[in-house]
Amino acid sequence: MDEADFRAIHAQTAPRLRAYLISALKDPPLADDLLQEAYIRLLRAELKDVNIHQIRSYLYKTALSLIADHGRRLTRQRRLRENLPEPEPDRPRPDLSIDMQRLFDKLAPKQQALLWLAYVEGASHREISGALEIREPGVRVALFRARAKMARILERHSWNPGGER
Amino acid sequence: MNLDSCSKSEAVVQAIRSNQWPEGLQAHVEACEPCRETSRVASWMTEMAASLESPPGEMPDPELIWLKAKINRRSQLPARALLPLRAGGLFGAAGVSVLLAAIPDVWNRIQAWRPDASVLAQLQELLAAAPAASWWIPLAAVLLFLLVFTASEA
Repeated sequence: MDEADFRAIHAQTAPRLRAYLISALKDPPLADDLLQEAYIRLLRAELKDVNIHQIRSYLYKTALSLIADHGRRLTRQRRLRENLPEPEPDRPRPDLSIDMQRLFDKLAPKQQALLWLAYVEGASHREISGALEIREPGVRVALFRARAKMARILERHSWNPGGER
Repeated sequence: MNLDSCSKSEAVVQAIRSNQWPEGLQAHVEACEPCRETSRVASWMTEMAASLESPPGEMPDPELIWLKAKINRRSQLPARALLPLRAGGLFGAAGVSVLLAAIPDVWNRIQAWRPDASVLAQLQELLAAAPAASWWIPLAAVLLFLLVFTASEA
């Protein structure tokens, strides 16, 4: 992959991947660090004969693993500081509707990633399977469950398409 | 479990993402419960994603990422270059071990050496009895040198 290819891939995938990382971490500077690390790992992997869907799948898989590593680090740090005051809560991004963020947080991280890939990225079941490391036939079931759960959450909070609440 | 999905749900997602609805699809969504649910969730997701997407100027510079990856690759090069030497060191260590293992046997044969026989005949006998040890001596010396050299380089 040369620099021009990389720029094209970055332009095509980074905005949504960054948005996903912000939604999952609620910390834009940290999201940028993990975004950068995901692309550095992509370049280091030197993938051959892959299309944009496979690259996107690789990027999300890496991002999810980085988010999990970050979560584990936080847990360790909290355990070490058990006697100290509670850490500051996650900072919500000013331009993200706090209501939306709160509702999305009601889903498990894997369900969040699943819905994001399916409905924001428009990823195929195969891509989702690669990114989330679940078997392809299992994607349909997992997506059905996540969609049903999100629909129930939206219904409970009287959210309708068009924004009226 | 009732996976009541509809074959048109992918088209519904596509229509929401592109904001272009093929004729009749919206009417179908009104009538189809799984598609209505898909539409509700997908609309909400795309709205949330749009609120999180940054303008191009706020995106991290891809050139910076490219350069960082390049620097990372370069910093890994010396470690890669030392790999053959490290492998040589390992072989050297193996050679020395074989040599050491052969010493007691060679020593016993030297002890049993009969001084009255001709030196050449005895030496031939000794070499025939311990060929591995004899051939390993110069090779092990070279490999030992490599081991010492790579250890000092690392």
